[in-house]
Amino acid sequence: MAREAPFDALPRSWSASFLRRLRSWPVIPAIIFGFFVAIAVVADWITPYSPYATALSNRLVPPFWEETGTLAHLLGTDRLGRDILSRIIYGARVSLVAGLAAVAVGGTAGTILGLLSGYFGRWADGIIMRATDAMLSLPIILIALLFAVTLGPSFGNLILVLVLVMWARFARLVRGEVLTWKEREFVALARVAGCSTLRILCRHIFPNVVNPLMVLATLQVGWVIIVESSLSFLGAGIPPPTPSWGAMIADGRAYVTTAWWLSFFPGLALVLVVLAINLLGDWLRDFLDPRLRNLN
Amino acid sequence: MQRFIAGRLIQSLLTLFIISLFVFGLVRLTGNPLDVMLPIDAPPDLRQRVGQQLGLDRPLHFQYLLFLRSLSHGDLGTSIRTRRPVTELLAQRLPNSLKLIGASIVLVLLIALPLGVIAATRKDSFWDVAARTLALLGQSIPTFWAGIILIAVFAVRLDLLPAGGDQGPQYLVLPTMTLGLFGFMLAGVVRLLRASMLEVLDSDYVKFARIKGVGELAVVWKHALKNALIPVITFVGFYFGILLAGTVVVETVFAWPGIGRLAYEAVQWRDYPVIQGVVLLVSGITLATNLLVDVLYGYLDPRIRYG
Repeated sequence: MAREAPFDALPRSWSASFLRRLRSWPVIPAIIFGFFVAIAVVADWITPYSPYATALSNRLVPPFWEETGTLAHLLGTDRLGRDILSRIIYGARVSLVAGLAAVAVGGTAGTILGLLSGYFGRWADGIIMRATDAMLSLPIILIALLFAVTLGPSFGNLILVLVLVMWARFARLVRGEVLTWKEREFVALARVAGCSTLRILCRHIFPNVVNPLMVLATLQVGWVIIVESSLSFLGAGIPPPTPSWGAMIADGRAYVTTAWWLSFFPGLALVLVVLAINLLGDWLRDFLDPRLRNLN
Repeated sequence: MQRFIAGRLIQSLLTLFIISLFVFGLVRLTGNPLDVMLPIDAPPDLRQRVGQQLGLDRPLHFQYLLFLRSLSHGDLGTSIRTRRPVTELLAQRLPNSLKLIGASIVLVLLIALPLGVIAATRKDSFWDVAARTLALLGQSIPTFWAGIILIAVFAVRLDLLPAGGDQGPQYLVLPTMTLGLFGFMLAGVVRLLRASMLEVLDSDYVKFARIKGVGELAVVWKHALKNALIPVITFVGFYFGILLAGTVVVETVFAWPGIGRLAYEAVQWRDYPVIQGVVLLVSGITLATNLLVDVLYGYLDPRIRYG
């Protein structure tokens, strides 16, 4: 499918070479992503205020460059006088933990099921793949709302819903990969040499699946972060007052005419993180596995 | 072909079965389903009557059969908040959502078709880069934030368009833009069309058309596009269900009276029967459109049937 050689020497327009360079040299997205990871880790020490500290006398202060803004609150305060910058920094923790946790748990489960499904085939494959199809056609946001209404919104339930779709995507990818690898000679040789099934799966097949797996995992983190914030926006994600970007954007919705900064900054943080992750994922794909270039 | 359709039909029914188990099981995990299904102040005799209807004193499998029976009658219960039948609420709201989705699909195709074709014919040109950048931005910007920003710019600053509600065609503009331009839809169509155009343009029949002396415009826009569109149409068909679920966010931002907004209100009021109804309806429509697309695709391209 991919027609373009990775290191094509043909002359290109300036804009194309810029995009190409950005992709082949992912320093900027790596820095952005690293920055958000860093602030999430050290949030306790760098936030100027507690993300929960309300100060009603300081409500809706605009960012510092506006006329009534103050350097005490660089990005302003919300309707309860809470510092937006501090809440964004803590929100990074929520978004990244949710994204990484859901992908780690769902990815591991999906990989194991995909390995089994692809290697053993027959009824195991039949059951796992039908379940995968079912999961992938579920309206995930609505299922999450259903969870929130019945079990109550909580961080655990949120992760549970995300894992529920996540494993299916991984299982499908891994299964496809296993199908292409298991007929290879080295696998047959390993079997003849007396390797156990577990050893063949772990030592001979799995290492070949790692590259596409890494690519999928990276791209999924971005997707999960968007879904998480959408659910928090709808009031079905992480319950208040925990600062999450989605909930902060929802809070600002009522003030869109008077206090634009309430929604704008958390959204900007969200877009930066997801954009950085998507760029890193694209780069990883080109770098590790050019076959997958047209995956999306 | 019949085997293929039968196989896909069974698969869809299986999925529907899993979803129904899901919906059925989830509410029973909470302890007493009546707490979730009825208002807090429901009189004891109502609680008793509904309890009997659901067969709560009977074994679980019997309860499940009762649940399926009322589903097959189109009985989805009564809304806790409005005390009206859920089926009625859904019927009232669905056309609005379909209007929004239809408009979004048209908008996406109007933008994505020329962009995807130009991106493929002039690889690495400005337009190609623009298409890829647009796709990247589209999938990185969450719809709800985009919607709020669009409101801030077009409704508040410029005062050009209404921010929310539904009182005429101009109310459709911002929600349509939000649903169509952000998220994976536009990104998906542009990328898919670009990739499939690149492939088709390299095929023998296109080369032959060129040798035959067909003009470049006709080669690209008629011969090549026609075949390159097949995967795009499939994608749009499959995406329909995702859009339907995605209306929750967009309709909430723009106070658009569709089923998505209904679901959001149901969450705020913990209106279980309504949210259950929306989940079942959207799942059903999604499965039906997926099945339709699959069968149509299998009909158009025999390779799929036996693949």
